[in-house]
Amino acid sequence: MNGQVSARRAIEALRAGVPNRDAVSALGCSAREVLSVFDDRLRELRGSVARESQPRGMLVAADFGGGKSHVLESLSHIARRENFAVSKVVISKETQLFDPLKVFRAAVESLVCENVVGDALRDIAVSRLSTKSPQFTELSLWLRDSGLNSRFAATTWLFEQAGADSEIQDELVGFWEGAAVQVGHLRQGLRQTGASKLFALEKIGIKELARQRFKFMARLLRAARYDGWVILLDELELMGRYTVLQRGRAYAELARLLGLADEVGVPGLLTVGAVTPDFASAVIDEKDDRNQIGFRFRARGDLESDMTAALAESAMDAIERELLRLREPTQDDLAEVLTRLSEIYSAAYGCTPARLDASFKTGQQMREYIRSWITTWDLNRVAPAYEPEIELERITDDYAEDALLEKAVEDDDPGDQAAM
Amino acid sequence: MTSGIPPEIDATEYASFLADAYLTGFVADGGAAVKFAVAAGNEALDGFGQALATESERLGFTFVRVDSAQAKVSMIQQVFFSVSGQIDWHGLARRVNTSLASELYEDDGSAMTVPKIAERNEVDENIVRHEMHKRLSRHVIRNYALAKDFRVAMTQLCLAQLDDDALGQQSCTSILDWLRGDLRLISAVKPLQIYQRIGRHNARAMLASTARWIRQTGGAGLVVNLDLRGLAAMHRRDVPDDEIYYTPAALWDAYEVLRQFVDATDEMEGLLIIVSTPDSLLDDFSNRSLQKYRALRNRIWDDVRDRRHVNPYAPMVRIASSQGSAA
Repeated sequence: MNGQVSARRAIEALRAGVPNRDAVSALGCSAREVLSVFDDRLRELRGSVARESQPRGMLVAADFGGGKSHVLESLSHIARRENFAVSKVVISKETQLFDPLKVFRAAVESLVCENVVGDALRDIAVSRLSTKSPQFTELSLWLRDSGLNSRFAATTWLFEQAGADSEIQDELVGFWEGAAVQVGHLRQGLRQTGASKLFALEKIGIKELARQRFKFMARLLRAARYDGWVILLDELELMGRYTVLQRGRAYAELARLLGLADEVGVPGLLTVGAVTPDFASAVIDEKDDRNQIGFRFRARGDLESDMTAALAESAMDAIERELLRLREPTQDDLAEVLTRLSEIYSAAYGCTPARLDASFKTGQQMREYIRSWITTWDLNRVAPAYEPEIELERITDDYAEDALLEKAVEDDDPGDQAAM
Repeated sequence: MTSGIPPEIDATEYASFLADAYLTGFVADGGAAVKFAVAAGNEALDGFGQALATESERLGFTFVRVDSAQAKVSMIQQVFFSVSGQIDWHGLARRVNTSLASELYEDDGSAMTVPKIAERNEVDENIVRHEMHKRLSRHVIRNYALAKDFRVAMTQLCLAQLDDDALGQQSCTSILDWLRGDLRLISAVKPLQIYQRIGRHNARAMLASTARWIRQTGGAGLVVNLDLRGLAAMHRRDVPDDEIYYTPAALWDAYEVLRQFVDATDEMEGLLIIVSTPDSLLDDFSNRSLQKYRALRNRIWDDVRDRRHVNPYAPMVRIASSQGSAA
């Protein structure tokens, strides 16, 4: 793809406020504190499997339009350059944070592989996962004592035996991606390979299996010769609009992903989340989440609910105390971004954009500056005789509950709803 | 403070703009974009859709229309099936076979099958078959810019055309059923090395691959006009029996599908998606409003705009309901 098309892609993405690869490459990232912490975490991530510990996750915060998604995309570039597998997940109606299977599937579907369209895990399985490699042997050995459901060991065993049988490989990789697998098929395959007594294929609940999937995938990606797995979670603030119990579950899953509790940690995984800075006051405080969630779950009297309450509280602690706030742009930042943006725009459209005002305006977010500049240049080209007058309509968000966000998507596999 | 009334553009003018500023030189060169065209009346949206179709086809693009009243746009795989149902897959395969065969053999415009090529060129059929398989392997199977199952499907279509026997015809039928969502049993395509249905997890990759495939076969790219008028009905009783009613949850799913398209332009080449939106879906006070699905609103809303002049490059553009544009 030529440079002009890349520049146009960058400008298109910036018009929508969705920073893409080209935009982030061209504009760079000035969030030095975040980059520095991320570098440290990546170093920890490299050694995390050997240490059997998960690096503590990060939470990046900024107001709407303040650059969170841009920072996450920058982190994605850095991590991929350093041989980490990267997933970018946007919390949405389809990917509900309280449902670990949905988050897992979204993470695997969004795995980025250079020059591969879709199906990144299948491509990884074919091109990077060698069953004869020491890394694969290490995976198989680890699975024996990992405490994970034996489906993982069984499918890994069968993958090794499958050789060139693409249909079997496809079914196994499908399971690794988060699809259900027919236990009967597995048993048949194990019988055929003389391993029917090696794997119990014990029953397990969907949610618990989903949580184990993260542990397995982190190891599988290591076996595929990545140095670790980075999951970038965008738009976490959406969980502020869940009803209270689902919000409690969402906090708990977030705590697991961020590695906030050693006993449920995922070695080989680093999670970075992006959230709005007022989440603590507008949701945790305003909705009295600490009391409401703690009370409701503990009142159930079972271990799982106690765990949910405890994990939820640790996630709330992290949101209250560990946010890495993106600072507002300075005058120098604005001038630099305007200069770079002008260069991208020039490359995109073969013109010399007019010099514009880069002066700081209180309360204005980077997104608004960038869109104002681009809109002005667009109008200069579309209507050269017209003097643009840009106006801003402030977009406001609140955290009003929306039960629709919790409804399953219509075509969700009914098999997901039953215990396996 | 905003001026209150967002500026608008004439439908035909916007279609021409998209042709000049997007289809020519950006999408045709491998770019991708998603735009929302909003209008008050059916006439404006119909006029815009027709003008867009004309411009697209004039520039060598494949134009398809997905009607949300007929295709469940809350499910991305249904969007793909609707697109797929309008693609001349046989025609595209024929173009590939013709192009690959012409590297070695004479083409007189007659049937592009192995027996006919062999006969025309006085070459043994087995040699022709071997050479074509080699070329398909190089140009299609190993084109990793296409999703794996997609390239397998396209290869199988090309091979089926070349052999033109009963087995090949059966393969074609199965592949087309698979592409269009009509496949009853996945076992029909397993012998062709396709093991999974097209679903939510892979439909977007299939759509991206379709645009790339069209370009690979000599077309300029793909233009998809997604018409959201079917989403606007407030109550089930307002919808004819043969049309789809979107519950509030399904509506949110539809908006999420659109949000994902906006975010996914990095993965796409040679694809322009234009979402025709009735302005009733932008109503501040309606529970069905697109504004209520904030993830989408935040990506397309014209919160930064000029007071009087429409910016046709914006993610969302308002089309005038009668002749003439503002400023």
